[in-house]
Amino acid sequence: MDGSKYGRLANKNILVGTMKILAVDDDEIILELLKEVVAAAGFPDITLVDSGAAALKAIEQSPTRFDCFLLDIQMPEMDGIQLCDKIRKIPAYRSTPVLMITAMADRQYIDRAFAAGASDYVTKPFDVLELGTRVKLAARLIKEQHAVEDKDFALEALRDQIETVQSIHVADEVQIEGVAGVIGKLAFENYLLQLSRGGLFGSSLVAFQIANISTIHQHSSAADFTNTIVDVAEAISDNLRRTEFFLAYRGNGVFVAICHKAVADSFTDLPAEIALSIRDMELVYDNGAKMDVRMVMGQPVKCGFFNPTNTLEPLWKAVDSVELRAQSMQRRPASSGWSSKINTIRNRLKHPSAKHVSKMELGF
Amino acid sequence: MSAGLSDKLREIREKFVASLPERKERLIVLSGKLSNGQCTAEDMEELRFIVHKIHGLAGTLGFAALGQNAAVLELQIADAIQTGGYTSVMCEGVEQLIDFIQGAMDT
Repeated sequence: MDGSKYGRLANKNILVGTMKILAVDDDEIILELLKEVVAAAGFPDITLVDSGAAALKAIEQSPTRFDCFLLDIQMPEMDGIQLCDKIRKIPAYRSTPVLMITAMADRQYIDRAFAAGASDYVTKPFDVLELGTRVKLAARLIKEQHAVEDKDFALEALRDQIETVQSIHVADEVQIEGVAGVIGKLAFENYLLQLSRGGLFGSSLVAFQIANISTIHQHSSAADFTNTIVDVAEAISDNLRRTEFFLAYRGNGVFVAICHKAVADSFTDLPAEIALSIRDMELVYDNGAKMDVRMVMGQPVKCGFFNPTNTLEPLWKAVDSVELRAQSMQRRPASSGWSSKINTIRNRLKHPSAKHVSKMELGF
Repeated sequence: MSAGLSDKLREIREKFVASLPERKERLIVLSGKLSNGQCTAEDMEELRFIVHKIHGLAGTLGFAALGQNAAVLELQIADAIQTGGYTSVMCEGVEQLIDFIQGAMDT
């Protein structure tokens, strides 16, 4: 099954005020509850099925695309996380909102769900009004996705006539697939909100930014720009593997990671390691010119004490920190001695006994 | 919350209450097996399944104490399945849950 089945602009349900939802739970009372709550939130077009197999069959047989999925985790045979993973492998549903609705509140389940592609996570028992709000948020996300799709579609039509098309704004979120630990921006925020309910002690948020993102964007085609973001995500992801983490791209060259089980010096050499990974990628523009990617890392923010009135506060702190550093870096001229500094650092990293790499040496 | 939704929730709550005797009967059978040391791995999975469902539904439908009791018991059962053994605390938890179910049925 692929996305073309429905046609490029075939399903715009959400734009006319309805949203086609598929709810999957092996308990008929929960299904009935979901149906009523979601209908009361303004979305009466809901299909109910009681297993993962039935869900895949409903997807296969549906003449129009589903706009949103509500999945229970704990189901016999195929659980909701496995189902989510299978749904994400269908091209038409790579970015469709998937809300996991489950009594499983352990981080282990939450992590697995988001890693499988969940957009949001609602724990049972749920407040009926809150669930309605979450579904409305999913509807808003779909509207935004459709707006981007329409813009891309229009630009694709122009691509034959215009050699360089700048169809991605520098602030746009770029869809990153196939990079370990990377999830969408909203999914990342939902993940933090979900974990904050159970406590995030010992976890840290750290942000990274491509300080010269505007310059790179200015000189790149859309594909070039997207590839650069994906490459940088890969460099960050590769170097975060010693911790348990999720990473999201927020637009404007900003990435944020939440790292669990990170120890005090987990981040010390990280900027240099990421810079080296990027350098080793030997990134170039479409015209073959060398691309200078100037990375900056913000101050890691401990997540131990969430403010109940603003549970995303550590996230904003991490982002503010990296943006300040990026601005400061932008005021400095590009280093003419960049290569020799990287080589010095590469040598030091090869010799663990050497002192830690100075952040200032790389402009971090 | 709209009156329409409140009415629907009331109907669903009644349906949940109507489903409780069957769940309770199974729990009584499984509790007996637990007490006699005859609980198989399949029995433990069934026990977890029943308790998990009650945990997910009860709180949303206004049976907070029943839901919380099921939540704690679900953790104990998961732990017992993982470690391959079960404790007297868990057996007491099942009996306590049966009492909470009876309480919900009596409301």
